[in-house]
Amino acid sequence: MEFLLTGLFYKAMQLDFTLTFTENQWVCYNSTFKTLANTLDEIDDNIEKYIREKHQNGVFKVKMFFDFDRFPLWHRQYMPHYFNRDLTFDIN
Amino acid sequence: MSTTNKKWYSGMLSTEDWWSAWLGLFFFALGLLSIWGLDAVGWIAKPKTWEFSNLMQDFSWSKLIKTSSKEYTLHPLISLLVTYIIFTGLTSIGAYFQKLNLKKYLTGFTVIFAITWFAWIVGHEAHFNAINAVVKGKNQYEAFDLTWGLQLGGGFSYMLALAIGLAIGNFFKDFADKIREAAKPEWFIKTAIVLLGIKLGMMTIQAAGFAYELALAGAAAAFVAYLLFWPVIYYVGRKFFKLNRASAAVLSSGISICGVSASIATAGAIKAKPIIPIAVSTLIVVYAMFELVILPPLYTNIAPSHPIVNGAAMGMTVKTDGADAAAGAILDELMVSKHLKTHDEQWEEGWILSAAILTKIWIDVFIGIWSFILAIVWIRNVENKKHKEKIPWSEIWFRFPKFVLAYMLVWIIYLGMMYFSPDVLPDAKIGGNIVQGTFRKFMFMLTFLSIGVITDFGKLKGMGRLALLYALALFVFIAPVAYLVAYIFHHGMMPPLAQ
Repeated sequence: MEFLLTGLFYKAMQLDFTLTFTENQWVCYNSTFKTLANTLDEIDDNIEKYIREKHQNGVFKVKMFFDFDRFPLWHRQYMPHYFNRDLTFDIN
Repeated sequence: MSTTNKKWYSGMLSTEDWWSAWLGLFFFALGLLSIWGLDAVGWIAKPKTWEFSNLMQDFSWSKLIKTSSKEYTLHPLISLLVTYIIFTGLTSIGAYFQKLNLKKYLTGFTVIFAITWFAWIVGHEAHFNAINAVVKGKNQYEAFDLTWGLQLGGGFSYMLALAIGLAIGNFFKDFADKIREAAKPEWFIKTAIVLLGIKLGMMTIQAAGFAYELALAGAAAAFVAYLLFWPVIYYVGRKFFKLNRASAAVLSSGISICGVSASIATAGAIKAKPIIPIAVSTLIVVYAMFELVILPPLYTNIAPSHPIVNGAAMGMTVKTDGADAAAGAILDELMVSKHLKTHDEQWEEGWILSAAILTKIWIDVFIGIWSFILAIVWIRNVENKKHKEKIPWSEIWFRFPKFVLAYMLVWIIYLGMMYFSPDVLPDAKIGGNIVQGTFRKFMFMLTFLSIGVITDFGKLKGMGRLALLYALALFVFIAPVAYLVAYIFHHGMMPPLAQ
């Protein structure tokens, strides 16, 4: 199941992704989808395309959790969090 | 495998920040057992002041090391072995959950433990350590019949550990790589800061008004620092050094707020590519070393009559918790020693250090809120988003320094005892004094050595404009203005005399 139905009381469906970074590119993935891009805007566009192709219209909540393992080990002692993102895609 | 923060409890077992809290609270709880008459902390070894020729005439380990409590009549080497086993065991549990390479950690920690103790013992040689004044009814300088002495108190041990660490990190890089897995200055210092919560509790008992005033003045000074430093550095970075927005913002936070943690938090808030905070962090760590080496003796000599101002200024100037606490500790030792030497009266140790730490802690606490605001500003004014994005409130929590919670908890428990059960305080202090004394100082010693090991001055090469801006901002703007702000909020505050 790529979609996590978040219950009867929620209008939007939720998609969870892990976000990370290679040498030059952002990488966003979950168990069924993976995309690479130079900017987060491009990542968002690719996710929108993916939703349009695979799913019906509706409002989608997209959560991205940054994988902090991508930071060098010695950095993690200073701050163990980079950022998470909450996006809403209204696909009509 | 990936490490993401999804739930409020994410990282509780896997980050050094949380492990600082767990380790600090565990030691604190051990110390509290003295309320029920159980000495669970007195086994820890501590160095004694010794004199070289006296030792050579009649060598004995008991001249160098003793247990922290007379309840434990262990041979000094057994005490040291017990200390090694307990610290290695406990930190290895933390290392395991932090997904460190346990084999490398064990090797590294054993080496760091041994070198730390070597530096601590050498640093207690009377020619370096003893002060020509009466302390607790005894003048060790005269007792050892010294003809000369540096009279640096405990400060020499710290400086020696740092010098050895720096030598390893810069001249024996292969060796440094072998022990780097266990060189965790932030973990060690945050644990020490939690233990310092006991000291703050005792300070509150001793002089409640002063301790509260110190805490509030620290908050005010930190707030001013945020509002003053960040915009100026950002403007200079953009206008004169032609940095892009992301680099200017990340560098501004690194220089003006709390170093590496602020630069990572800011970069995360504005969603900069991770390479930016990684590069800036390298710069911060190296410059923090200059601050740590230069500022404590400088402040001690140019403003010997402003101890608390000096401490608070240190908290605002020296970046990274480890370097700040380390600088505060050296400043505390140097200033207390100098005052004792020149005025023949002893300030109670720990107050100057606490001024440095409290200011830094407030700065740390605000970083989550600052990053949250910055993230909103960035989304609304800088980025041109097609999709609707909101900043999760949980970002504040994930960036909040958790060791501060433990520090505050320890303080609050002492306040609770003071108000609701003052009769237990004398017994609580028996264990508390050992934990906030020997345990904390040992964690500081580990920090000094580790911070030296991970600092490689060679990494400054190729930093160009960033390095130049950092140096200018730090020494021309941050340091003098921080001192001025510290003076405004803390002038006239003096540590009480040791009892």
